Amino acid sequence: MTTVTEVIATGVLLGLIYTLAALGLQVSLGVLRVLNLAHGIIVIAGAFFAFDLLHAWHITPLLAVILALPVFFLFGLVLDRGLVQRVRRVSEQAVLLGLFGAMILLQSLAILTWTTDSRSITVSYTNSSVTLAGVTLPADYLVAAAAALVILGIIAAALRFTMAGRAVQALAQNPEAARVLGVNVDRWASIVFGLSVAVAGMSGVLLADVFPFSVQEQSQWLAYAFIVVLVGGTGGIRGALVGGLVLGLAQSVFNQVLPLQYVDVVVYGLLAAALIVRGGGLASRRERAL
Amino acid sequence: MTALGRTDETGTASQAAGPGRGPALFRRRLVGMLAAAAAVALAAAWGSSFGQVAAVSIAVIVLMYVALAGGWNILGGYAGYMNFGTVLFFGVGAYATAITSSAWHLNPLLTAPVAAVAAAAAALLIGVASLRLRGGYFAIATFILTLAVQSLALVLGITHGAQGLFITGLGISPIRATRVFFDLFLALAVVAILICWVIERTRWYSALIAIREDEDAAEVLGVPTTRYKLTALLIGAVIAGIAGCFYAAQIYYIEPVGTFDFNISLATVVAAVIGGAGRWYGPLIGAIITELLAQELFVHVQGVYSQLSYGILLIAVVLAAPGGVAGLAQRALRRHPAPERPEPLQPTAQPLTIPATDKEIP
Amino acid sequence: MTAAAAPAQARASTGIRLADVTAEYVPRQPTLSGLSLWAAPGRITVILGPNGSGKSTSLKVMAGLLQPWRGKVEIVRGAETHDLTGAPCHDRARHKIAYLPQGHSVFPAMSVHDNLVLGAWPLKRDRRAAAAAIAAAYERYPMLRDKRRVPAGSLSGGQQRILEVARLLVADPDLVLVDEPSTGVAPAVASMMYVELARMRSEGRTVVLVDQDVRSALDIGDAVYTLRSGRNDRHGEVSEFAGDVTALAREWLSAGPTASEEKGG
Repeated sequence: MTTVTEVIATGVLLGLIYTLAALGLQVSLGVLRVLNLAHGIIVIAGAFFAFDLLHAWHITPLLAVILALPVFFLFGLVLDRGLVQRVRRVSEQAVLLGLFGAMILLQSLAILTWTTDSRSITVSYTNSSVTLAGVTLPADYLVAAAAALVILGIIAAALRFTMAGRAVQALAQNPEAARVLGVNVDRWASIVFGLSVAVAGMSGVLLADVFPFSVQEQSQWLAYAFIVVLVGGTGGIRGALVGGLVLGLAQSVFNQVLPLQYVDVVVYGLLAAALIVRGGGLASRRERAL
Repeated sequence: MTALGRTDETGTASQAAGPGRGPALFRRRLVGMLAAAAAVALAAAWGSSFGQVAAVSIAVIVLMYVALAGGWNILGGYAGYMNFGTVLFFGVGAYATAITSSAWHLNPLLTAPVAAVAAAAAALLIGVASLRLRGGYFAIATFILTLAVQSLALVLGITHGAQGLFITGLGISPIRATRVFFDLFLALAVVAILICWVIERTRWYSALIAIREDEDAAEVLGVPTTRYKLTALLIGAVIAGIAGCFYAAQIYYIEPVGTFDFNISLATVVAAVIGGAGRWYGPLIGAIITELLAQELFVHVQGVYSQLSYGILLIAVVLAAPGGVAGLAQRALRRHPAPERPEPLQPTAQPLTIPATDKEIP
Repeated sequence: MTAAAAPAQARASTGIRLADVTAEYVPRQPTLSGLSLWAAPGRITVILGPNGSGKSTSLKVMAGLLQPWRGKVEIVRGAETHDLTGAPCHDRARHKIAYLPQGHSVFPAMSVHDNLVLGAWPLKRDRRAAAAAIAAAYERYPMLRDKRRVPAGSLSGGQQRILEVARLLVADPDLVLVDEPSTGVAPAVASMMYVELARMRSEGRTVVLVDQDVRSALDIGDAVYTLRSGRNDRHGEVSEFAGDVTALAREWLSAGPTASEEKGG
């Protein structure tokens, strides 16, 4: 991987994966104003889900992605009804702490179940590469990125063209008006949260296809998702794509230039920069409400 | 009023004013203060001479968390900004001590001011970058920054990466050392709690509460929210930094993974929340409970199980007793008559307020 | 024949009643205390009162945005009475009740068309009826047609109000609750709003109107209630009261809100 085109192409592929991996966090943040601190551990759970499905039942990651949808959606509903909705009326801080507790709890359960060892998935295309228009790219990146793109497309279409999608937008923009028009805002809030968890789980399956993973890395994925949200905003898939692509390209470029252990530091540096720049933008609730 | 529980009471119980209450109030306060001073003196005596060393060493950890949780309480409890970055300042203080004490050949305890300054500098940097973010964003930012600083420590030359740093010992026996550190942490804990107690009696306290309850309104009213939040962060950071200095001096070998261990932040937050984050006695109660629990239950079973319990504890507290132990006690001791009215037929619709940045059609 | 132009007789006459309602936003500080009122079918009932008297709150209780802790909210449709007390807000649409709040309530980042589509939410199972209803909305307010792809938030204030009314009418409500239609809008827009309200009445809908603009409200109103401190003050036919109410209004404007009226209203 030495040509500039390859670096950029890899960055784009990475970016698509990061976009999907961040979408769950962005949706619950933008639509429900809930910062799901357990997002990272859910993503990693998705990765282990793919791993276990592959080794127990020889289910390929691409099939596992589809199976992850209902499984993680249900889990999201449980998390929402059992924790988030109940604690919402207490205070914002309580919701944060509750989700933080959930993150810690899930992480320790994950360690007990899967240990802290690093895993990776090997399928038929894992170590091969594909050459398109003179550019050589790893096949697993391509597959995962393509799957991510398809999922993103489906979500975007659903948001734009279905009544449900419009209800979700309404929920994000003016929940009281939606309520008055007959939208059961509480039920839809649960559905949206469930979907955000489902997307997180599905993205975990895809990342398992590409990267080695371990339970502790959940905080890294939370960080990535957060960077995407900071850079791209909470406005929708378009914003997530911007954030994801920026992150993917940055990582791809820095991978070429810096030794491995510094890449993380640079990524966090990006975060710091994004914080400073975006900090103002995320400052006031009222400022941002249109 | 507790950080997590929204009640309709404001102010502290001891601020009840009114004619004729003055002298009785003053006497109560005086008695309270004398009792506290006596307790501290007793504790100091216990730690320094007649307490059993094993118990004292446990107490050292409890006191460290009292200090950390107390410092955390100002930004986290009063202002409601969940700060998961305590260990960041703790670690900065520890490393500052390690580096300067060996570079300048000083007794590490003498470098406490350096640790404090280093922690303060870190707080300023981080605060300026992240305190413009609201609640949850800030929480996540501190969480991630902790990891970032940890990776930085693993990479920078001055910190010797994963090899860690040695700190010159104090040249006293381990038993003597335990007692000395007991005194040090006791002093720090007392200072931290005292600071909280004092803050509750200033106007700054109401401003912080206002920030927690409705930051926009507070800003509109002219409260310099960023400055206040930064100060709150600074105080907590300095306390954590000094705690880090003592910690480094005590264990005299530090390395990034153990020193920037996220579990320290976690334990701090859990301690404050379990005790009741909105009052000065909350962190005190909480730290005692969680650390004693931790020591008793997890002496043999470390790591994962303690994290598991912290997670369960947090969720349980948030679901059942958002005000922590202090909140429960408040509820039990409350003396006004039970409200005559039943709950409204349905909880009033809570409008979701959206911070929506750019709402393009996706 | 489109839904919006249905003759008055085809519509189910719907009246709404508040019976001895006490409600509050802040515990132990009631905004409404034992309020009762009846908005008869097919008429415009006006609720007036000084700032903080609970006018908007009474509307919110009717709309289901605030639940009373005592009292009842009932709608009367023909011979049947439905008790709506405690029913969640989103059920109101099913009962053909619509609510037009003060201020902006469009979905700002959604297109005009999508806003209208959401107005058809109760009709979402019947795609044809929904499409017909939306088409009727464009017929009734042709200026929306040109703007159908434009984000609603970029419309002018007056245009947004039209959109809000159009959206509200898509589901063909029998009962429309309106909160201060003229506050904060240009006079031309305000008079347009009152024209629309009168038009709704001519279509057999029941309108409950809360207003600060006493004159305009009495111009189109049939019955009036005045509130003071969350309680009933006076009520009756507009024709009986007109002179009194104008005098009252003058009184309210000079007196200003009392301490207990500061909250809510």
